[in-house]
Amino acid sequence: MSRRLLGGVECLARRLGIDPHQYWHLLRVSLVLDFRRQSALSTGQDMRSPLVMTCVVYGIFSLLFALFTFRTLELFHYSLIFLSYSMLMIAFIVLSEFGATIVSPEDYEILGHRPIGSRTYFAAKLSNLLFYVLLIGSALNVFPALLGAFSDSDERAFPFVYFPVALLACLFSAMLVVLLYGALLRVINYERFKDVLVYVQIVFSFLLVFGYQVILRAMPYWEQRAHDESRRVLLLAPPGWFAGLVQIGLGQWERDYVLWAGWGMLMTGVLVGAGLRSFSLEYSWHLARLRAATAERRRARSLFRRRIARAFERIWARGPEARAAFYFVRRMLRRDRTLKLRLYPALGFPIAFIVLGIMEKSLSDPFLPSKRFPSATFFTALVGPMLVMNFQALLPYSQEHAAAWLFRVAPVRDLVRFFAGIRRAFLVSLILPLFLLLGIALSMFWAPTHAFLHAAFGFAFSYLFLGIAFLFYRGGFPFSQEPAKMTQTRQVAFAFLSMPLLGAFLALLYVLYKRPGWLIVALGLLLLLGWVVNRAADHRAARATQRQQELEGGPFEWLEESS
Amino acid sequence: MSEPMIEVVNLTKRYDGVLAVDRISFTIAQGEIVGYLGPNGAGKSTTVKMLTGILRPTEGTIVIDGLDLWKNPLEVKRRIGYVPETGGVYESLTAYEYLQLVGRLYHLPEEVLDRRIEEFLRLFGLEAFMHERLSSYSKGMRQKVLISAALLHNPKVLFLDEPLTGLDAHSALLLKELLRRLAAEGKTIFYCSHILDVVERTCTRVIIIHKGRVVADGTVEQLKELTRQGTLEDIFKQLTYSSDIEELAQAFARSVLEMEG
Repeated sequence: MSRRLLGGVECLARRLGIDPHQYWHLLRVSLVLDFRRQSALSTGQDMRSPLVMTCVVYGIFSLLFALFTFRTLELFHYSLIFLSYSMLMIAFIVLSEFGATIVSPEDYEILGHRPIGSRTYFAAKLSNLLFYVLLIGSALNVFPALLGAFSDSDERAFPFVYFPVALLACLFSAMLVVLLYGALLRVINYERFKDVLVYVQIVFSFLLVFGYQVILRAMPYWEQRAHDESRRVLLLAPPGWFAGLVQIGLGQWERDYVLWAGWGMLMTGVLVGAGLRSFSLEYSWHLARLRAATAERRRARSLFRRRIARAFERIWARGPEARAAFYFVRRMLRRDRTLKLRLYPALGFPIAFIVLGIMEKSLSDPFLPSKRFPSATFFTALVGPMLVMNFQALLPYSQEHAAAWLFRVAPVRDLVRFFAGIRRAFLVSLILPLFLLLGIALSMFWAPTHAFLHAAFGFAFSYLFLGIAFLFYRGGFPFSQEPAKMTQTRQVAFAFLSMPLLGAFLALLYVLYKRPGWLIVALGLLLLLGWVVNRAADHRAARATQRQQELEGGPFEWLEESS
Repeated sequence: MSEPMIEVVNLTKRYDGVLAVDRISFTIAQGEIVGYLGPNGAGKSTTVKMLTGILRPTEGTIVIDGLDLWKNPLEVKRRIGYVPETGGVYESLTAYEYLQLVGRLYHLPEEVLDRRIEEFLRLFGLEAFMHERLSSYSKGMRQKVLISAALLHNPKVLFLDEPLTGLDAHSALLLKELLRRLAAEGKTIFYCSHILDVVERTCTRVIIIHKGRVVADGTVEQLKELTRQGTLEDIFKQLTYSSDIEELAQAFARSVLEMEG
């Protein structure tokens, strides 16, 4: 029976232009490679797979989220909110972690001259991606599915209907991103492709942050108008289609649900068809085109600009080690696409909260007496810590990790100064301009002194948080390790566990802003504490890096000499 | 003369308007070992990547064993083996696993595959390391794995891009002798290299390219006669360098030694 089934699947695969034998071995090897790369990055103390940990953290998030909502929302809206969350998260993870899975010229260099059909290769790559999508999709939806059975509607069949629909929605979301890659590949060369992809991902991440806030706030409004004509607008939103499908599965054959579910199935069919037909057939050809990448030509700076840049570096970084690190990290912040991709979307956070503050009329001056807690205002200050968390998590990784041999042979005598240079580059390039801009933006709504005082507090807290984050730095020269799937997502997810600290900061701000006499003293104390913690963090990061290099068996005579 | 195995007509590759390979044409017969020479950036690797189906030419046709490469890519790729200049392995796999994957992609039967992998790795002295990850291999060891992977499915045509990189003297000698024997058995070998004396001693014919164009094509003896030069090195210098190498080296050394003063 199983042999006949297997024969049937093989026959179908061949009819689709897929060589089942090659497909299976390519898929198996790609998964083996992923898991080995992940375990190679784990240190002796931490052998847990980043994938498992990511799934656990996402599972906990959605459990908490479901606990807050399962008794308060009507079942349709409950499905809608969790489907939106899962689809956005999946799209975001695919965009940020799986770019190289879908489009990998390096992979093509190894396999390009082998007799592998375009569709076989695409099918193996897509299956690799879908494996992760199904795992993460399950982690995101298992608890919401189970808790949904105990909602006020008392639908015991809910988990059995919701869970498969949620997985289908996750697959839809992943496929949409794959086709987006395909569409981009058709029109531009690889260098441009990578640039465009970064900007697409930044915009998308911004929408994720912003859209998520909007969904949460719009939910009560939608519930009030649950049977209104205006909710037909959900026809434009994919989560609405799948939420309709859940309702149909539960036997709610309302006209709107049928319409959304039918539309959703049709669009899924179109999407899968488009992916399998056009993109998969031309997949190898697109990858071959990527080999034709041209080097980016950059105009050399004028002598005057070079002198200015050098003087600027001397102000911020003393000593050759600090200057080298400062220069290197500033360049990477400007050019490394992964870094840009993972850092810059956070800049959408203050914009989103300013817009939400305007919409909700909660962007009031926090230094003035008010009955309402101006949450949007306070949240704008959290962008600094968010950037810090991402930067600390991303610092050891880069696609250009192979070049890090330089740090192992070049005489970096003073690792403490080296890490000071890294931190300062980050502060000067991102945190300082960010809070200056925030001050300017808020001056349009409040008194300029208040706006810049709020920005100064944001900066001081980010500075302190940077020191705290580097106290937990696991060591390693910057951009010296190969990024593995899910490692960075796991670290960023863990970083979110520092939310209580951020909550304490918001509470501190709230208390301080009501007592103007303490403000300057508090700001000074915060900066002083930041300075002390940052100094300690430099020593800690230097020691951790030294230890890591010793474990790897690197040459350390020069470090012993300096100590 | 034997039947042609590789026929290249007006092969051109343009990258965003920059001409990397400019209307190259040549024919290589079965059993020939052809050395493909040129200075850095001349277009050697681009040509090899087009001949192996990794890069698509802007213009021109490539016919291998009577089949048009871009009309029958899978058929042609089954007939060729390729040793790339850099990269080319999954470092997280062991040598055995990597060769197993390669063999399976060519649909080799499992028992044949196992036997061949073990035999190849033994011949290259890697049998003790076959279950270690390629990330722990030295450059030369990886090169041996790449050569094994290229020969695993017994291809009719072999493309080698700097195959001696990292190989020790014994392995280099072994490879050179192996190439001669394979050619004698009717395999066609396209050998891309910078090492002129190896090409001079191993290849039956030499093609020199410069700035994307073929500037010389013939046996070493024919080229010596044509250019009135004594060695392949002199021929290469005459055809590809306009400035005086000694003068360049002197200026470079001055610049390096400046720091001492």
